[in-house]
Amino acid sequence: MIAATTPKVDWFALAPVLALLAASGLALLGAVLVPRRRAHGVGGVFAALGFAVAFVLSALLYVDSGEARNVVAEAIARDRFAALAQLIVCGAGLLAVGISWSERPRVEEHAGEYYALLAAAGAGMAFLVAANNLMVLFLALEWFSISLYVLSAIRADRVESLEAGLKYLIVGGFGSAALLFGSALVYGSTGELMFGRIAEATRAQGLESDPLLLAGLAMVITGLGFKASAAPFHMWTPDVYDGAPTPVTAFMSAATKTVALVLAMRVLVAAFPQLDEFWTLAIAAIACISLAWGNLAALVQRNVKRMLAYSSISHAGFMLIAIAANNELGGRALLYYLIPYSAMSLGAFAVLAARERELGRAVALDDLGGLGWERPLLGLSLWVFMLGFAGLPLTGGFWGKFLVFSAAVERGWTWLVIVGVVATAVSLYYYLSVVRALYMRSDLEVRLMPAGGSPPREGLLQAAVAACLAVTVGSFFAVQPLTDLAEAAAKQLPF
Amino acid sequence: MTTAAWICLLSPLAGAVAITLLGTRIPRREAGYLATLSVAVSAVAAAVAFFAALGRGGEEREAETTAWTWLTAGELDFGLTLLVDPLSILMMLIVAGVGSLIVGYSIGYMDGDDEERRFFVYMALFVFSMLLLVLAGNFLILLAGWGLVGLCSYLLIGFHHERPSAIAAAKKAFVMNAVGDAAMALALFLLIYESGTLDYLRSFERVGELGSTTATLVALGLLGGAVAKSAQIPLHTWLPDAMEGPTPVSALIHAATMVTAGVYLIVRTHPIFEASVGIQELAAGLGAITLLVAGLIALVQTDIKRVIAYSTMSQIGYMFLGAGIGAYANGMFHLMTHAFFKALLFLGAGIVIHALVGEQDIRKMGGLRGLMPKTFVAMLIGAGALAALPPLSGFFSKDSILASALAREDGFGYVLYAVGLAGALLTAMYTFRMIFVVFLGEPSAFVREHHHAHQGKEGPFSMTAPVAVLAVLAVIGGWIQIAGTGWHPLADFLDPVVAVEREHLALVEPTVTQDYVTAALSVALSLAGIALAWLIYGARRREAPRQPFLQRVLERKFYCDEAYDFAFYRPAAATARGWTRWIEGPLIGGSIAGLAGGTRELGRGLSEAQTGFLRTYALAIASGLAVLALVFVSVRL
Amino acid sequence: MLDNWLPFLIYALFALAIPVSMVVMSFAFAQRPAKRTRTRGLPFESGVSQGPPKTQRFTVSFYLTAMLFIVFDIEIVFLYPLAVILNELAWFAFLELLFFIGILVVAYVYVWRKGALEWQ
Repeated sequence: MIAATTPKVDWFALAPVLALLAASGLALLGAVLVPRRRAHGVGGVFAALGFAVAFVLSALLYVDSGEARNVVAEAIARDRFAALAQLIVCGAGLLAVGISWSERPRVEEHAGEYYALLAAAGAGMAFLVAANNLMVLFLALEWFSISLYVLSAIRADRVESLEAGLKYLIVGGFGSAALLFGSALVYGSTGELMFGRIAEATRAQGLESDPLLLAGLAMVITGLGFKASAAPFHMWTPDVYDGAPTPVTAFMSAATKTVALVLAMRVLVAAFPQLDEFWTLAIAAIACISLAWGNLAALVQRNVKRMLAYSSISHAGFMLIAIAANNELGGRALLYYLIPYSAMSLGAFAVLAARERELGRAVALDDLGGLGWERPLLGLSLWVFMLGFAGLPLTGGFWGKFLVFSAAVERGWTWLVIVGVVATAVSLYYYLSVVRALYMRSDLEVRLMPAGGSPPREGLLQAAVAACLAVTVGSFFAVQPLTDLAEAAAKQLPF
Repeated sequence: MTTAAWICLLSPLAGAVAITLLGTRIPRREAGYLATLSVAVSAVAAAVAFFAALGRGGEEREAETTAWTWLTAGELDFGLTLLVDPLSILMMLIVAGVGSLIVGYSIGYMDGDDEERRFFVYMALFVFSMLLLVLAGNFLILLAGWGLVGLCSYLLIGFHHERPSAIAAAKKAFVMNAVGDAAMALALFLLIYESGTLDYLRSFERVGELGSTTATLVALGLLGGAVAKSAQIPLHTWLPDAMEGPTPVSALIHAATMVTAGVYLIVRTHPIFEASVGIQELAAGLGAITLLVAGLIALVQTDIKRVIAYSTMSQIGYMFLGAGIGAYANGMFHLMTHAFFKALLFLGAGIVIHALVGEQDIRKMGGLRGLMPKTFVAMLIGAGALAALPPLSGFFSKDSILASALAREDGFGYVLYAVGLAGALLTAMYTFRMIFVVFLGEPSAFVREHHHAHQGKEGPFSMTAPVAVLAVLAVIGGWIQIAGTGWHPLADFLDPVVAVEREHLALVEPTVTQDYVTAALSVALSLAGIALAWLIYGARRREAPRQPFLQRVLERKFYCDEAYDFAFYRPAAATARGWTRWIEGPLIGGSIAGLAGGTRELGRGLSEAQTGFLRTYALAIASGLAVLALVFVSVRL
Repeated sequence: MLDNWLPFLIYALFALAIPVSMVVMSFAFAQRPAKRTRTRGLPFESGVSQGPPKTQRFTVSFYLTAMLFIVFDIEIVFLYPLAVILNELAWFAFLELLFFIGILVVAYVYVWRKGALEWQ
């Protein structure tokens, strides 16, 4: 006789994931059940609805999760930390739908699938940030990764897109394998899958110097570092960001980074508190390498998308500093920083998407000449996003860096702050070169490349960019309420 | 009270934003009306706040209001906090009240200018910034307001951007103020660092805990900011040049409000100054020197606005003197009356300039009394108030400062007193020189040729009405406090703010005798000054004394510009050139280029590592993993 | 401490030894023709020549259908363990089952309507 027990399922905790999953399914059915010319609209509406509903549900979840607890056989963490990350993912997804809408003529053939995959990726990410054991972690990671592999390659008519998808798939398989093997080693060493219990087992059995556990930890770090595109696990990033359709890049850069970093913080803090002297240093080292590599390589890029890809690597470095700090301030800094960062990243890629469409090719730095005058909203927004990336005041990027640094200081790692400041100084060069390209070109230098005919319908894209702009600037002024949210979420991790 | 303060603060901002957003959808004139209306609303709100404060007891007149706390980091609150207390209410009244009159005046003055809208946006923005400065409840907001008024001043001095001299003047003002701003910002950071709070009230409470060096440094930095903003020696040379701006700007910013911000700063932060008496006395000394020097220079100026500008410097010198010896209420009193009569003088001068199609040289003017009788009366009232003739406002306020100096009863006090009295003589002389030259005598050829009566009037209603109101204020403004009679409501009103601790300062309450002596002496000297001016310029019975050397020195403003040019600009430029040539070129330039090149080279190398081959990527991941795992394990073994 | 490492070490040694020995032995024992002939350039497995290349080809539809079959087949396999303990788990399992099948149905409808099951 098999003793079967059924876990109590907390449907509310799963609600954001389920909403997105439903949206994905509906969009997929829409792709085949409605006439093809309507598929785009149906898919887009379902995906947008899914993200919006999931956004509201995560907000409710945040409000309701004043006390963190583990639900569904302890596989899911129901806490504000997860809910806040889900909010960011859903917001990014909603904006990504807006940005994608104007890609209509290009993805017509797979419009329904496109939105279905977008929603599915969102669902996987929402699932991932709530993961509370290694199995759910891996499952969710693969869930959204596979969606993203296909999304990267969805423009099957473009060889770059195919190449991006293939590279992402293969290297991603490598990263996932590292994570999976690492999880297996950790399980083998401690006999536990649940994060909290891994920590308990480590303490109870005195496994602090168990090579299996340490090797497992190294592999878990590698796998998560891969997803967060931290150096030296980042090399897929420029190729994939460059080759994937730009709205997909926008979503990936904002949402993937968010969930990978948030989850990395949860795993390391919850499962490996006894090994903190190992992983804090390792993360700090990875952060430094990412900052150095990302910034230096970004300096010489002429292709703006690639430049932003490297910039996202360096930002991964910044946010890893918050994780390396291993304290509540770090959690607050990470969650706060992700809000303006996601907005800036989405917005910047959205502007590039619009410009790309006008030019019909990849956007080089020179192609931005005159954009500031031609399309004032987009130009101004890109300008603000660049200043935000560089961490200048009047954007949330300023407080983000400030909070990250204060977390590092709290830990007593001033050297890390110095590395961060130097990296910021270097990064100013290429961020400002975008601003320079936008506005400060003499008339002779500006080569206007107007599109043939009027640009496609872009109301939603402009609205999405405006929303990103509002978040970027608003998070500077509303820093207190946002840090309060982040702090309440960070408090629920066992620092 | 706090609601009124918020309305007062935000109304001009709303006006500026509205004019900007409406753009060409409203006529230019309506932009002026809108700006005036928004500032007038401020003035009404300030009055409401004032009466609300009067209705409360002494201690309750102080209220902090925080719109929202921006960021809390430990004990540091970054918040949009306003402090409404008698001092800020007084400043609100002056800024919004005089401001609304002057902005209204601008409707007529700027009529027909191509860029009226821009002008009114700047003006409204300025009023907002100035109110932000005086209402600030913490140092961060103070700095923001301080910077914003500097910016507005820069924009408005350079308003006629087609004139190179205006641009140069704007730049000069900006640079000089930047020196002061930097000093002040450093001082504030030091204070924040030492006291651990941004808040006025809390940091004042902790002034006692500061070391004497710190207190001195902070006070010195604050004084630097105050001196630059208020155009006191040695950072004074920008103010006369700032007269390049339109006349209402000179009246509002460079006479009535912004330039007195330095005085406000000293009074506001007086606990810090009291903690380092030496610096406070330095402030008084600088004020005394400035009032004397500026008075002398004003004697030979030929530009009507520059005469008034130097007199502004000189009068602010009096205020510094008052604030420096701890007579805060008297300093603020003079600040208020000065705002009235100096705005009156500028606006009157503006009417004259307007009538003479922009001519500002008093040598070309003359005999305007017959042509512009009302303006003459207004200017006469302003001049009388400036020269401190009873019963006009300047008499009460200036004499109370001088009497306070006398009341110190020490050497420094007597010196200040003597300088102040000499200044009174000079003030009367240059003021009435201007009046006599411009208004008396026969109309000059230039006047006959260029004066065109505005249909028999002296200007549109929007210009004459503010002048009339200010004339009344310049007469009665001083009556709210009469020295030697025990009638001092203003001092009582300000008392909770300024009378915190002054036991270690020399007593500044003059006796009745000292008050009367001072009044008599200063009136006598003023009358003597007027008589001298009459003899030389009015009746033209005497040749103006010829002192070529002295005259040239004064005309060149004691060679300050040249000296600064020589002392700072040239050495700096030469050093820079030498640096570029001998050091930067071979050494740093090379190495910076090398550094930048090296960085780029490194970047290129890194992006070459980006081969595009999956095997490279996998290799990178694998090696990263291997290093991590090996280090982890080997550290533990 | 080293006990933990010993199995690893042995395993690693074996892992290294096998491929190395293969390469080394193929060099050591192979009887190579002195000259570079066509046969020598041919791929071989376990020393046996592959013979002529197979020409039989499958259409793309075969792979597609095969893949879809495997995907659905394996997912249906998950139903077996569930069926075994359906009695104990009762409604919970039934609902989970419906949920699971629901997802499969969505995918199935998609595949079907997309025309992936039609042999071309």
